Amino acid sequence: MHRRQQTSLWQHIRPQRISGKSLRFKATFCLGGLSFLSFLILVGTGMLLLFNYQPGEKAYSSLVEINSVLPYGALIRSLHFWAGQFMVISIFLHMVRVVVSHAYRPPRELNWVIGVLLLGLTLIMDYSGYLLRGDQEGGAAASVGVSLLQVIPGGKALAFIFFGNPSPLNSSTLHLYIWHSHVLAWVISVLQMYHFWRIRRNGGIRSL
Amino acid sequence: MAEKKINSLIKFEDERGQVSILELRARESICLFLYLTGLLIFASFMDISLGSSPDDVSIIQAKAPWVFGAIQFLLYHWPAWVSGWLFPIISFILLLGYPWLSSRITRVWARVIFVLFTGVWVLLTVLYIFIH
Repeated sequence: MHRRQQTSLWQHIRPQRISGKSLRFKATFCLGGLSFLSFLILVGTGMLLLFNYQPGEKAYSSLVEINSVLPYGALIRSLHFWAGQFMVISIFLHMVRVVVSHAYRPPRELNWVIGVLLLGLTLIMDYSGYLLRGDQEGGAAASVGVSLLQVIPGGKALAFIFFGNPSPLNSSTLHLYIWHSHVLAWVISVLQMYHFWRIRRNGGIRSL
Repeated sequence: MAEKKINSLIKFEDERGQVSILELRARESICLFLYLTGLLIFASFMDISLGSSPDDVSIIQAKAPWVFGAIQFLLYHWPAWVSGWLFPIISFILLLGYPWLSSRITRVWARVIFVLFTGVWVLLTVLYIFIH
């Protein structure tokens, strides 16, 4: 029984007994947990938006419909947007807390790297979400991204893989939609689980 | 003093200073309730509008979400390969290698480098938000 508990992933992440010191508020300021909670809200509200959002030419009009016709549509979109912004801020503050408490030192270097990758992917998610609005501002932001990718060799192909063919007036494409709501969301989920698993593996939370 | 007294009343630490996972669950539940309530209130009052319709008269200008504000700010002043590639790649490598970099210098210098590094990014982002 004991061995089974040790090898179970869930028991590893959530053991029956944990260090009392790690429960203090200033040990973590709940920042990692708030980032994960924001992600769960993003997944929940994102799934609700998927029912009505249409990538491509109809992106803008589908968002107008969500905002003004669907019951609580504007609230769900607002929750999705703000949870995304809070996730970026809480990840950044979580990183600062890790540096202040020296929690990136051995044996935690790998988890630091995973955390930095998660920050990078979250920023890309934020960017792709901004483009999926399909408005003129998104079109301008997509043009900047495409132009930047085209500076490097093979950039045109990379730009097509990530952006598809966005117009300067409408950035929403099927490519961005798939990256945002499927590929990146899943990659972030898996990396987060690995991040949590490694926290326990490396001896738990390191307090300030 | 008061915190110690409260902790002694509600915690059941064993000789290794460990407590039951229930303690964590209780804190997580409180945090969940507070965050959800706060977010719901915030999202209700801070409604987000849509941008300009693709069918409207074009008003295109270089624009980026605030998270990429630092890069966008630099793009106004420097060539694309510096502000869009060199600066972010060096920053990303510095961030990834930070544990190994800090092991070669003192803790104070490690913190100074991190504060300067993040300070530049935050400053550029703030400049983008308030100037452009």
